[in-house]
Amino acid sequence: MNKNITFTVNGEPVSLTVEPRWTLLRVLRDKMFLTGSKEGCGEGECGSCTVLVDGKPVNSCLMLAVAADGKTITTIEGLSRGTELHPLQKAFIEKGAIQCGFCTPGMVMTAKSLLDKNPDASAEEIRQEMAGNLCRCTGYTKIVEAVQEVAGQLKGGCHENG
Amino acid sequence: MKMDRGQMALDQKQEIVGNSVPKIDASIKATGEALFAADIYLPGMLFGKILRSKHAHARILDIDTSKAEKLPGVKAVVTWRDAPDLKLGMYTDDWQFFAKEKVRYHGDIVAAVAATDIEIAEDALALIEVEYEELPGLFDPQDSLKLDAPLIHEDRPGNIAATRKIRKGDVEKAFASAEHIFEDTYQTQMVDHCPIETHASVAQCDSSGKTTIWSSSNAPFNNRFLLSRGLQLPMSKLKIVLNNVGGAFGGKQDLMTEPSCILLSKKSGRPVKIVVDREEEFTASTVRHPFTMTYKTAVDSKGKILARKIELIQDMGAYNDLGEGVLRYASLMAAGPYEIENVWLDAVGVYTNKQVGGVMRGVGVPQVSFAGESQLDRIAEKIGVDPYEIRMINALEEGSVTANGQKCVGIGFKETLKAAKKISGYEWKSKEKNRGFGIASMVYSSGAAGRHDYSSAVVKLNEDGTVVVLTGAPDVGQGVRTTLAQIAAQTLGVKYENCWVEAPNTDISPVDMYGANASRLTVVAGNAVMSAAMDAKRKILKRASEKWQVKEEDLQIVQGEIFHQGQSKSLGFFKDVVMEMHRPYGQTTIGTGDCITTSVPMDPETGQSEAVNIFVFATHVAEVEVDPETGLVKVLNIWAAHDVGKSINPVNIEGQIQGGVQMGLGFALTENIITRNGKTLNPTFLDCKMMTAADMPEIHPIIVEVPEPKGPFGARGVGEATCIPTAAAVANAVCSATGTRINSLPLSPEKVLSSLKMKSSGKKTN
Repeated sequence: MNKNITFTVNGEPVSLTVEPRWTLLRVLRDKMFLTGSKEGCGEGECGSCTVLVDGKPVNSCLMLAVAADGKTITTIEGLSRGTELHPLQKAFIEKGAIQCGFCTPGMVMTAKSLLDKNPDASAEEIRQEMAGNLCRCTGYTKIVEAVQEVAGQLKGGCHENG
Repeated sequence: MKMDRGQMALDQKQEIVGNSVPKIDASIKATGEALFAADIYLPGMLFGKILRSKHAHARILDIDTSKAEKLPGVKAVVTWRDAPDLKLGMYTDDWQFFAKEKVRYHGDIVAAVAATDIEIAEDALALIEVEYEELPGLFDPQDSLKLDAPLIHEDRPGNIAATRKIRKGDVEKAFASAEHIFEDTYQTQMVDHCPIETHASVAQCDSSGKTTIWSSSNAPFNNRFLLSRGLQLPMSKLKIVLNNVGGAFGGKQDLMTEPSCILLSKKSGRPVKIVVDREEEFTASTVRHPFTMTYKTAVDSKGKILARKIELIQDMGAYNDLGEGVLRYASLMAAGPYEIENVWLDAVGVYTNKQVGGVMRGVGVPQVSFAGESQLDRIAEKIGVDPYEIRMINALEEGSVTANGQKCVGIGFKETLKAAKKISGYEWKSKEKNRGFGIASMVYSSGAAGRHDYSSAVVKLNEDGTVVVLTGAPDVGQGVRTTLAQIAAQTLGVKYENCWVEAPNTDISPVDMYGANASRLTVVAGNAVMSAAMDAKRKILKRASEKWQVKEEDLQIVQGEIFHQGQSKSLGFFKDVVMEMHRPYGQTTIGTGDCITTSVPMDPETGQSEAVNIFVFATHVAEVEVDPETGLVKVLNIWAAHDVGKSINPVNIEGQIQGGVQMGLGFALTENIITRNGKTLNPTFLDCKMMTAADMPEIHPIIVEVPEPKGPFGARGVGEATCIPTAAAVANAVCSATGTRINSLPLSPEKVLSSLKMKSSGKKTN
């Protein structure tokens, strides 16, 4: 039976009728056209669909849309303010952490959740936390460097805008 | 034009080329704005699913789609009856878009459905009734080669898909008098490209007969050629559009979704999207061919290789596809990056009822590199020569002649060996217990080897002096659009920020033959863009010389301004001259350029020819630690030295190397598609594991620059080389750490542990 859900997506209240078998990712992409969140496996193994649900990183391919009722969701589209990019997005660009870019939104969202709770994460902590996000292009080195760069900035008192 | 302008390019100033400018598409990828094929949503669009074979080998007796067609929401179902009845392929016409009489592997397409929702399309697949008569399957090339084996393709006797030979010198004579002879057999496993974006396309056929396809392809012109033949449509009716491609590694020219999408759109009259899921990607897309390789090598007491006799058996899978090309590459590079007087090679590609092998980063060379470099280490150990030294003794150098009889010019192989040794601190025998270093090298080609390779480009100057480059070169993440923008900007003398490289669209872009394959784009598309930029520049300088009454050859353009030789004050702006071509002349300044390589086919009997366009060399050093209790190999460091000719964008190249090593380590240690009776047992990232951020060691890219005379600004392509020697370096390091050698990949904990046990019990390991 279809269900009405109300949740907040990137700061905007949204009400939708969803089928019980739809995942959050299905709704974000196919119903709201927020295509920044990607499906790389649909089984919670690659992390390309990572969004923040009440601030925590979630594989949106594994979460049913009905379970998002009442929650606050942040997707990659909600991270930059207009044309002003989030420091993590800037660092990914500057450090050469982006190749094909398919895993990038999920990587950035996982990194944001990590730095939100641990602003001066070490390289080892970054590697462990991001082990759920697969990348086939970069070998991860430059991704870790980009996140470290922002961790360094946060440690140094730079204000985060996201 | 032929590629003979390398020196000219080298003489130019290199402010943009050589700098790590940010990628032109990085910001839209950081924000999620970048559209990939699966991100296309069109009004009225349907969602498609593909029904694949239930059996590895079976005759199709009947396909009944009537129940599926009646399901509410289903708008079209297609089978072989909806497509022209013909077989096709890049090398051999053995594959039909939709299986008709037979299915030959589990991934064969039987039918496809389009419906208003993806869930309805999935439900409809279950309603298609296919009656099969199962046939005996062949899952090992050795079985396929037996005289009484059933035929997978009735018109392919012996189940042989392709063969290749190399004959240089006289190996038997050399073996007869050699001091040491070694003979070993090596095996490599099936692995998948694993791009994080699965294959996807959207097709829209309109009432004029025009079909537009938004695709995840890495070779759109290749695809257009096959689609045009397979669907009997003129090329003018097929437009393939690429936006962004989420990784390819050679796998995305498979037409996994496009024929189904097009036929479903044609039948339903609505746009159709098909995105394959990860399980389909693992079970039905092309894979890296498993190889069995027997190497017999003679050396003298100092380690000089006197002869190599090599037999390669390639598990082709159910269709030839690009496998014949893979066999050619493996054969060309099998003897390794060494000068050997006597080489004999017999290679055969054999059909099996398994997943189809395609081109995957390295095209057969990761396999032969594992075999050849493992054996070279065993030889070095046995005769007491440092593995580094044995490579230096035999290394190809300026003027050396390769196994295919080709003379090496402008190569930097020894430089990669020296740099890798120096920077890594490589030691033949590690002082620490359970730890070891391993070294391995490789030779590869930049630009298609053994066939002509070409690309064309258009450089169009906008009214404001900014630049648009049209090219068929697909950016699959390797950054070719950035590279080409740098080449255009540098050649024209304008700012990088003012150059845009449009993604391929087969109606608009000039032809680029093979797409993101063969480490070819920097060189082949790069030379084409350089030539087109020079053409546009000549037109602007001609106008400028008339305007200022000076000689064309005395003019140069720097950072968008035009200078007269010897004067530090500019005559005027590039953009103003471009504008003056528009008014009063009404001309858009367009430069055109092209590049065709000089590679020629290998002789079928001897393999001798100038087959390699540009030689590429690399050396990797691995440092590992092996846990004797669990057999787990922990890689501590990889040093990867690559002769790139000229680093056009150093950060991009480092990223290519680091990513290539990730793939090489997966091949070495964890990735392994396991099949039983042709069915894949582990089609998930959990069970067929690629390296995560937590698994990866430190990777140290080492960029060596020995200018390539035929490359733009001296550059050579290195995308594939980056993953090739890693597995052998790791295997050699494991042997150094444990004293046991494993001749098959991956080096799983089970294999390492069992080899350690055999060693301690005194048995010979293999």
